[in-house]
Amino acid sequence: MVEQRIKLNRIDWFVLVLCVAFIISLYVRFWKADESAQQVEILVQGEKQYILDLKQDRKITVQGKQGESLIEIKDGKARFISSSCNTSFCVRNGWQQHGGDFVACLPNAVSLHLAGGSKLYDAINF
Amino acid sequence: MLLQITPAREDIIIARFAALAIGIHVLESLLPSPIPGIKPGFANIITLLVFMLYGVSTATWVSILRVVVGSLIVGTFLSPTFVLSFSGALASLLALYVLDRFNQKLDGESLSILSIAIVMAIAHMATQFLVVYVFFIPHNAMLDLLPVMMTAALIFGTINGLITHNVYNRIARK
Repeated sequence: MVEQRIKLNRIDWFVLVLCVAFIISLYVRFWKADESAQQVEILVQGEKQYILDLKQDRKITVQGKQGESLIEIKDGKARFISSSCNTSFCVRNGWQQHGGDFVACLPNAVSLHLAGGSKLYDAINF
Repeated sequence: MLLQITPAREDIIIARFAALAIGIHVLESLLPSPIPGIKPGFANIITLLVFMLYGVSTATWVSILRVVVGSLIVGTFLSPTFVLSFSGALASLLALYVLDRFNQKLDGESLSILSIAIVMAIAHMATQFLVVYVFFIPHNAMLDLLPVMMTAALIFGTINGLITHNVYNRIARK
């Protein structure tokens, strides 16, 4: 069976190159490395207790609803080392480093919010 | 009193091609998709074919009928799925209309159906993404998906454009 092959002219090529360039620009715009967060806010029972610089390495113990939570800040990242809860979901969440990242220990009512960087937003809406 | 409606030739053409497009639309809705929102959109081949054979207004009718009746059959009429389908269809028809006008302005050379298919697919996907982002999931993480979605639109637009080209050639030779 003889199929007539599609013929592309100059305008076609122009449009196709434009489309591909547009998509490549999307990758560049949205897939570039995330900017790291600058600060971490530590909330206890919904209230801001600490705002700490992520550049300063330190360990901090926070008194929560049930007991103490140990939080570590190192190399621009923050994590729960331990917390007074049974599930330890907060500890297993590991290091957080991007603006807008969030980790919480619900039983102990302690949470970390990372702020700064390009991906900061005020609220998440589902 | 007996009311008799005589369908015009164009009505019959629209109905037949819309039926074909609806069939493809319904079959395609049964296919599982690896990523939500990515679909081949083979029903658009019929829209493109009708555009090549009869022009942009007939293609508009076929496309709109396909979306409305297709959603009634699948059971998504007026649901978010329908809103997405409808807005995407409108955007791609707008792109088709603009490109058709553009082609008429040009002398001699004109955009091939491949380019038209790709631009329509991209317009369709971009509009759907905008609607999702503004109305359904206004979350920044959605933006990470945008390049993937647009790449899918480019690939499926190319496939659909080539299929339309081949089908048109076979019809035109008869």
